[in-house]
Amino acid sequence: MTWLTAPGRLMLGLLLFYTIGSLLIFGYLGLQLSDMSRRQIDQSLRSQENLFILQQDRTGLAGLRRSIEDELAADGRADLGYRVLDGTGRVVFEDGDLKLPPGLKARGAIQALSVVSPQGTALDARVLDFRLGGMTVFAARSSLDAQALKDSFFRVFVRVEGLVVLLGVTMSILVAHRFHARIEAFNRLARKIVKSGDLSSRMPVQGADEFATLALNVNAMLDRIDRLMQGVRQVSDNIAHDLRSPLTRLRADVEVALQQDDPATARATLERVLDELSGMQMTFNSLLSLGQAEAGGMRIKRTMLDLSAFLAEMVELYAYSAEERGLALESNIEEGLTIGGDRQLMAQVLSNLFDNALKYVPNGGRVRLSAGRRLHSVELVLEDNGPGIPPDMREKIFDRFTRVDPSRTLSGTGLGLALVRAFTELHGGSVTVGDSVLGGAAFVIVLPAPHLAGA
Amino acid sequence: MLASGRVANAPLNGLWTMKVLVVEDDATAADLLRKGLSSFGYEVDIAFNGRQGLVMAQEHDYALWLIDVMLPELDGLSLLKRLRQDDYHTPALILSARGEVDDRVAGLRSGGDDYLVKPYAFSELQARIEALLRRAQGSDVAALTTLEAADLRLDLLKRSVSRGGQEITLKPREFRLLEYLVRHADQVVTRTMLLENVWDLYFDPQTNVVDVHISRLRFKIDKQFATPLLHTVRGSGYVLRTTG
Repeated sequence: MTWLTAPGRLMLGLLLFYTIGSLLIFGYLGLQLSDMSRRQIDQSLRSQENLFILQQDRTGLAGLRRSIEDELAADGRADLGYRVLDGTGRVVFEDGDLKLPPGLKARGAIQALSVVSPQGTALDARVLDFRLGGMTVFAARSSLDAQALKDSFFRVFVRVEGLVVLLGVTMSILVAHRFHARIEAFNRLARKIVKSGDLSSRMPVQGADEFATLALNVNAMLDRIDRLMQGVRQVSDNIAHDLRSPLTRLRADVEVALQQDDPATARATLERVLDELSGMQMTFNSLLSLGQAEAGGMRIKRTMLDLSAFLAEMVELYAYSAEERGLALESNIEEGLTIGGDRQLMAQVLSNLFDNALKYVPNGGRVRLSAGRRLHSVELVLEDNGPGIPPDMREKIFDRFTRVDPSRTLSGTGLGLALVRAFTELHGGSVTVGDSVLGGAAFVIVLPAPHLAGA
Repeated sequence: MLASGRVANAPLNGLWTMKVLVVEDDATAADLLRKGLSSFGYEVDIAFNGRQGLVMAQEHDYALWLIDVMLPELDGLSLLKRLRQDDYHTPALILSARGEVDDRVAGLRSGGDDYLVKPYAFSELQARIEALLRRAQGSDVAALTTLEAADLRLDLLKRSVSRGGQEITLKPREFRLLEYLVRHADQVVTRTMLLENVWDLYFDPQTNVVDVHISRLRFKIDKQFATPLLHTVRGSGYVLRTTG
């Protein structure tokens, strides 16, 4: 049944289309052919008329007879017939192989008639009558040649058509079979992956046609899915690891409190438990936000945001906190910066960067937020004179649960910078980290602002 | 504006218990809400789906509705819209697992008076319930040009503050912070409430930014006076007390 598959049906459809088309073309050609032969016959009858008129003028009836005999003798033609009537309508003589029907009336024009061949069969003929010196001459000529031409034309047509249909069906079956086999290879792969969940299988790539391209693309897709799956696995391993430590602490804490049976200890324990739980909740919320942002499930509410004013607000929000930690928070924000953005998401981006700076830059340090226009974009730089980020960590630091120094016991979800990247990318922007002129890290965020002409 | 002295955390109208309707389909969550709210002196009715919630809200007179967004049969926002269309003005607090700003806007547009994202701290819920109940009682706040709390006086037009007749200079943000605290005098105000209402930020930064701003404000309004106004409520937030 393979020839009834999609490619098989396609081939059959094409074949049917071809057959109908060729029938139309052959039909049209046939019509043209008979029209042409009729015109040829008519023309030869007319030229005979002229010839006879000229001959008779010189030699009378005898001349006419000779003319007709000459005509008949020429290459022994069997497709002619003549009848001559005198003024009273009596037949003077008849000649030629075609027998004209008796009592034929003159029309003064060419008429299509049925005549009798020497073999006694009926034949289609064209008959011209004209007056010649008191006589009426009928000249008939059959379309025997044209008939033969048409017959052979039809035979050729039937043979060619039959051959084409036969070839077409054979080709359909072969092509369908071949396509089906190649498509089936993809189906086998898909079924195998669905059944086993093992993403390591790949399509063999043969040749350089569309199927090869498809196989390459399917393989590339599987590679990507495989990498994503590994990423997800890595992340869930990290989540499990990140939650195990607080859970272990919680459990130990609660167990000790239960043993001691002292209300004051119990209360203190419960407060610590609440703290730990808040931390875990924060981790989960951040993970959810990240997941939404990266899967494109987060609706970003863009409004025209006065970035200069907004950044000043963020600096104001953090200024006291920086001061408390002995940090100088400086800002160098160009006036009149605007972007199409989501204020809440941008606030979280800035907030996470500030949180980091306040956490990692030691007492007495400097933190500086600068913002300025570039060509069709805005560049934000948050830099410090803290320990900085080692070059080999600069890409990884934006991944989930990456911490520059794993031994560091500073609190945090390990998701702050991942959120910074996800939210920045939601705005069509990018974030990178490098060295600051201040000596520490410089986080550079570039946000698209097509309406800004640049500096 | 709030002359009578009440303990901040006790329900209002101490003579009779306030009835609260909780519309929540998760039985465990509903039970926790009932226990928690009962311990603060509220009487709690629970509806487990939107349709039941609609009937109960129409039949009984509640002081407050707590409505979950995701509900079987009739979702929380549609439920609230129906009630508001039928001219019910009971304050409503929307509880939602979704925390995007759009969801918040949709919630408030449906007639919610406040919006709290799950999971929330119970102290946060309690503070917001208090704020809603107070707001429902004092409805003449809009027209005020001055606010007073104890010997503190805020001129909303001139944006100036004085305490005991003595002028205090505040930065614009500090003024907004103080204004919010005074408008919610004698109620616990959480950090999240302050971030939302004073800074228009709907997330909690890791750094204790609010605490530092409060301590600066406290320095300005309490330092030279015998009775401090601004108090920290451990584990919850802050309260501006008008009575010692």
